[in-house]
Amino acid sequence: MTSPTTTTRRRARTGARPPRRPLGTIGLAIGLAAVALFAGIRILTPEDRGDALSDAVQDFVTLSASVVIESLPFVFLGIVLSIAVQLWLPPDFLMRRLPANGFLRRAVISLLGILLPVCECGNVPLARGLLQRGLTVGESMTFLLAAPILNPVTIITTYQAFGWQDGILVWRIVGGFVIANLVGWVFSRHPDPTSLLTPAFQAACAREHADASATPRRGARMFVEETSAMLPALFVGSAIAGFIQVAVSRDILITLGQNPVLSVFALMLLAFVVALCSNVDAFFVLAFGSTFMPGAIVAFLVFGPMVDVKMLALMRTTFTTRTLVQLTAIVALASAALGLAVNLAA
Amino acid sequence: MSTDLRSPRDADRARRADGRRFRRGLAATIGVLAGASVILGAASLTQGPKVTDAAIDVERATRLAGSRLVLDLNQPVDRVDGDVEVTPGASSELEIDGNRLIVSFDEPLPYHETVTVTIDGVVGTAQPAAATIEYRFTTADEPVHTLVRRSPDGRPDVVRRAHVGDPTPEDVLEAPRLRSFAHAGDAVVGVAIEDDDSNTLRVAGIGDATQTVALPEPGTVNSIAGSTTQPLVGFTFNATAAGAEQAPQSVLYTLDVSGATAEPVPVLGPDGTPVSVNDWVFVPGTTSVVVQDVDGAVFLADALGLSPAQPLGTHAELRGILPGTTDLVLADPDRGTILDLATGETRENLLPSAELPDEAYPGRVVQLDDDGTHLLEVLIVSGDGAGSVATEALLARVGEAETVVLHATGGDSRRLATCLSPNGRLVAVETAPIGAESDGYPGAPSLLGRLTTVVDVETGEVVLTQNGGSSDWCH
Amino acid sequence: MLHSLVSRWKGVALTLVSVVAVLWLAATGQLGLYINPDHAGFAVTMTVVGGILALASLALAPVRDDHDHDHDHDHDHGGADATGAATPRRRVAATASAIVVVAGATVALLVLPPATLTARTAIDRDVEVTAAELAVDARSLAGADPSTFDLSDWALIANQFDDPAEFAGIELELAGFVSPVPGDPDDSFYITRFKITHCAIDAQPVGVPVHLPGWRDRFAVDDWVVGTGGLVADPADQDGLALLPGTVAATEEPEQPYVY
Repeated sequence: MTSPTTTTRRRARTGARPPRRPLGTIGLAIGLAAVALFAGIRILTPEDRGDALSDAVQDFVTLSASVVIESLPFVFLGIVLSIAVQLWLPPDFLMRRLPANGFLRRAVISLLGILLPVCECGNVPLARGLLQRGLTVGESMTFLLAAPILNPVTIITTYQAFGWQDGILVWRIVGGFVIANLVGWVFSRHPDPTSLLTPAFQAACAREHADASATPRRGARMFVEETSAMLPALFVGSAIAGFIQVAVSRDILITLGQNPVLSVFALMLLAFVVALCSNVDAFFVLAFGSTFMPGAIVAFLVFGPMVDVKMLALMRTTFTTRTLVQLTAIVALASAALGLAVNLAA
Repeated sequence: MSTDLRSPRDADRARRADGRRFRRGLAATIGVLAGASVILGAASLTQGPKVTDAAIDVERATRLAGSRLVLDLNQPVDRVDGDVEVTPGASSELEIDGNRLIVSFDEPLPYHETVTVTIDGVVGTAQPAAATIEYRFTTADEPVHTLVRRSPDGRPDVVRRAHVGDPTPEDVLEAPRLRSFAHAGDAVVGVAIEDDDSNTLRVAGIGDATQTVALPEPGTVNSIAGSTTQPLVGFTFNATAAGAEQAPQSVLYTLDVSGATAEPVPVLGPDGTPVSVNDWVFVPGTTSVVVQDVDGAVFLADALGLSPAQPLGTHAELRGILPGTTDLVLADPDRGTILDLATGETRENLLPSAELPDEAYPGRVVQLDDDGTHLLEVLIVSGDGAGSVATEALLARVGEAETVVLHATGGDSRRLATCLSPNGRLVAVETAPIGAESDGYPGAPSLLGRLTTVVDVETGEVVLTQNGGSSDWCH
Repeated sequence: MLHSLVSRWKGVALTLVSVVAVLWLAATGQLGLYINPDHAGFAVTMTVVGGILALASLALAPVRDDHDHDHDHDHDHGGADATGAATPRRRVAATASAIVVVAGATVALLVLPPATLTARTAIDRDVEVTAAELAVDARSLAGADPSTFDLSDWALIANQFDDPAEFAGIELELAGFVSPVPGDPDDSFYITRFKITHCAIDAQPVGVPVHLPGWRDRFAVDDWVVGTGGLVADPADQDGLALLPGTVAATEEPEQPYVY
């Protein structure tokens, strides 16, 4: 990516628009001022909890904040790894080494997430880039679905949250791998793969090649973009987790969670709605760990990273609606079957 | 993608064929997955509740009656249609509490045994199907201690420990001469006879080194015993110094062996002073002791002195406590009584009579349960008609239905003691060869060459044989 | 202008808010209110890294993205926008929601004082049920030294054992907050604490029931108390044990209100 020839070509395509000047010391000053402001707010607000907040609101804030605080380090870890990979690992390095056989090729592609530890939010742009570099549509889907699960940060956080308990970690990894390859296989048989893509795709993917800035500046841009994509989702998802804990009675959760069939669909629906990053969704679902059956948790952890509100919106930039419906049907049914099977065996 | 190499019509046809192929693959995939989901879902619904977790204290279960196995299920239990079966056989009660099944065992479980609990017909609230719940656990092993007196051979005496499940013995306490011993948990307390024939306590099993605990004044230690569940050892103490005042004889002391050695503490009677003790016994699972004073008055005292002693009336004899329970067996000349110390209720204690041949002489009784099943020491005396008399010591289990001989000494040895294990399922029989010489220990003589045989109370099978005697299963 | 500013810098703003909040909690020793202290080292390290990266990004990143109008909102609600420029109404909604999230995060993490979970959550999560769930990691009681038991151990014991004689003579001193016992709200309460595995979201309340008729006259739910006494058979509930208090006194909430 950093070789002079590609840089030149890219610049030529984008019309050689020079990158804007960075903020420099002014930006740093603004940042430090913001830090000082936030610290000031923190220090100046009274430490005593008044009775202003009801217990329910207080617990909602505490629970939500705890998910944010537990998840945040892993979000940063994921971003750092993702930036490092994108800056220093040339994608061609991987592309050139893929096997020719379709099944093997997709199996290897589904493991790329281990080398490209990008959260699902960052995967769509990356998958677009891979499409550009000659991956078929089916293969790019395999990557898109597998990478959020088969990546080191996700595996570490899932292990942190559940250990080897009930095989949740193992089923998450195996399920993610199998489903991603299944989807890739189904769409690899499509007679006219380009028809799966939206017309706007070409325009949308031009951007991957647009940036010819120096490495630190590109890294900074990536950090800005990744945090803007991930943190709002994390905060909203944490608020939903806290809200459910406070607002939905434990009795309802237990009744729902201990039904071997309903529990699976309930958590899949939740995964679809909360749209958390796969890096930290294990911490979110911990809240349900004691009330929901393990199969439901596996379904949450497999379905959520592959398909949710946010991912559908993102994938809509690349794939047609019809394609997404088909893809969602396969992933949802496969996750449900996996969850039900785990419940049956648990 | 490669279609542009063909002619337009071929390409069109090929594309349609490919399209059908894709749709078939897609439909098949979705169909298979949907089918699998429906089948798995239906299967889960017809599958009953399952165990997610279980908790039992396997040590406590062998020492106390009424210990509980708590089975956590994956859903609340609606009802249990079937029965609870425990293998090896033990009676139990089942309680349903939300998503938990609680099995309480009516009596202590056997040592070092794989116990399978099967509960039939468990119906949960989530699924209509009944399931059979099975849970298996292995109970704790139990040590068997014996005292091996070797000082006549010029070697120090030892307390030797083997286990019911592992008969390899190890020596846990050593002293030049040992009078008796008791254990509580890992701690073994031996009564050592010093050169001047006075006694001291040696405590092993707390830390690495054996510690010596001095007694309040010179004297002798009798009837030492350990609690089966608490880190406590109790003993009666007779001071040798004849004081001017009439000090009580045989004062009951307890020693806390839970940590760094403490001092022996006297157990106080109802009037708050030490009493002269005739007999005493720990109540399993508690820090309480039942004490009978020299006048026959029985009272319940707390070994730690936390609650004042409560009088239990006057009785001729303490016959111990039914294994693992709080049921105290009392004997008077006119009747036998069982007193439940937990509730204060009494009931008459009737023992079934043994079927014995004419030449048999019944001896000591060790009661096993509140049905009256008991172990009976029997002496068979047979003359050969020419003036010479042979004796044989039998041990029999006497129940409502039958009398079963568990152990016979044979002609070449004599029985010295029979001692019931804390769970009431094993009995240690101490024997010595006919004609063995006395070891001549002051105040506590025994015979040389003692052997302890541990026998299963149910089957009469020999579980373990070990050198030495004075098993601390005896009280 | 506001739209592009917000959509571009909301991530960095949230980062700085969180970094200040986490580091302040760590500096004042209150991180344990939210997460298990075992993870504190990693959390602080990564937070510092995140903070440095955020400041570096402010210094290094271009003022505006070259492709601002086409792409900057792809990441959160991109699908609809991809076919062209966003409609003005969508832009306003996106900007407003981003501002709400940042403001909400600021209020939750910086303005509100750090707090423990209240008895409300303990009641909802059912103290007695969770005590049973904890039974899995029960330590072997025989031979263990009761003086090392914490509230979660005693909660388990009170739930699992029926016979007070087992623990006769052991004087407990337990501190926790008050939550009412569902079956016997006037005569008994739980001395409760939350047990935390990872973070407060998985907090499980554990408690030892205390039999003290008329306790409501002396304490309110959520007050912190210290009770001393011995275990007796629970008068309210046939199962289990309860603390028959010698003394119960109000106390301050401790620095470390959870058990781990």
